[in-house]
Amino acid sequence: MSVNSGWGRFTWGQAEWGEDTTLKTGWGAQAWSGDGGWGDLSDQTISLTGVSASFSIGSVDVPDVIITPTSFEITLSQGEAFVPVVLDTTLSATFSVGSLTVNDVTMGLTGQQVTAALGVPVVADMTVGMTGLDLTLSQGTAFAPNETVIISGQEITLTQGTAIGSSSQEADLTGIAATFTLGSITVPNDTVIVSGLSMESQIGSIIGLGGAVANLTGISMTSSVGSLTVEEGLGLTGISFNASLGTITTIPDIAVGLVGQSATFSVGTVNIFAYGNVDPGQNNSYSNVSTGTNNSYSNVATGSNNSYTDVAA
Amino acid sequence: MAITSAICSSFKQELLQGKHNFASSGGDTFKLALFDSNANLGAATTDYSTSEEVTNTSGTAYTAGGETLTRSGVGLTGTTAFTDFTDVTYSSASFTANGAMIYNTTTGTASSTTDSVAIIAFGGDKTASNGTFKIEFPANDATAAIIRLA
Repeated sequence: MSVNSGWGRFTWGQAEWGEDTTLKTGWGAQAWSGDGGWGDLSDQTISLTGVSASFSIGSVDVPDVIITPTSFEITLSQGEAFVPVVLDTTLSATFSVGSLTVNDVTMGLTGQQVTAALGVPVVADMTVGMTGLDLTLSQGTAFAPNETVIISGQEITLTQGTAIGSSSQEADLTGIAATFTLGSITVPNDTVIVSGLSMESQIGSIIGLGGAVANLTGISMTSSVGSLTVEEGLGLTGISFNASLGTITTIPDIAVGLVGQSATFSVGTVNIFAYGNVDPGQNNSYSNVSTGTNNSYSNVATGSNNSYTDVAA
Repeated sequence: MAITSAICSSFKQELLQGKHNFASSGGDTFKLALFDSNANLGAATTDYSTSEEVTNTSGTAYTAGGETLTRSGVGLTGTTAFTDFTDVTYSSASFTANGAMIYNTTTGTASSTTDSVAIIAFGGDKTASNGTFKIEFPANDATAAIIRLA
């Protein structure tokens, strides 16, 4: 609150004590430390520096006022709405096809055509159980229209095994039999020479172990000459046969009477020596038997009238 | 019942069959069995049997089956072939024997055979009483050997 009258209306030096007229000259007429000297109240040059001031607008506290406007009219019109669309070109999308699980589906199929080709099977090594095979070989018939046909002979060699007789056993080998049959020959125009049949037999060896006795039987063979059937006229050569009779020495009938051989077994005799213990506890006494030449004796009669008495023990 | 000295007939047949070998080396095994007076032995005997075989009255000198003989080999003098054995001795013997049988236990390389060879009669009971019972075979020659074939 400012003071307009009385004490304090001026600052110190502005007016005389109790006066309300301000001094225009002298001390106090100027402000302290002015540019003019003491008592100098002339014009003075004053260099002013910029003055700045800062202003700030304070806040206005407007109390709530209820305004009730009247006679207002508002006209509204609906404009167009624009929605801005911004395309982001940096966006990228990756699409992948997922799996498809197909449940049982009944489909009406039309006819299908399949072309199949049979491959070539490769069979590895296999064991095949085969039933018995019978093989029958027979010599065919040779037909010789214009040439000389020579049928080679059939040859077989038979060897009798070795009989080994051991211990008390006797081994009897049965004979070996072979039958040869010469085939037939039909000869229309030519000479045919049928070769003979040959056979070679050997008797085996016998090995006798210990005292075994083995008897070998002989080998017998029967041969017969085949027949020749001639159906057409053939220019056959002559058949020659040479036979020579050996020399026979006239031998009268001889009867040989063999007698058996006998051997005689003899059993020797053995001497038996059986002793009993000699009782050394008795006072046995003996005397030497005289070996002189004066001993005499007489034969003991062997008749039935002999009598004797036991010798006292 | 009696014991008669003889070559067993079956032995003669078997000999011709080559079943007996008396060679001193590699021959068959022959045994000598003793029998009492109740035995019936002779040429018809074919096999060894324990029937009426000697038994010890004391001690163990004699064993059933008899003693194995030692072959003296086979000899030939003139027309007589012969074979023999070495003596057999039973020590500390107590038994009575009336005869003996020689039989082959390995006839024809077989084993445990009982083929009789010869029967030997002692001529009576021979008794040893805790003494020595000795069977002395004859000389091994053509005139005395225990088995001779002339």
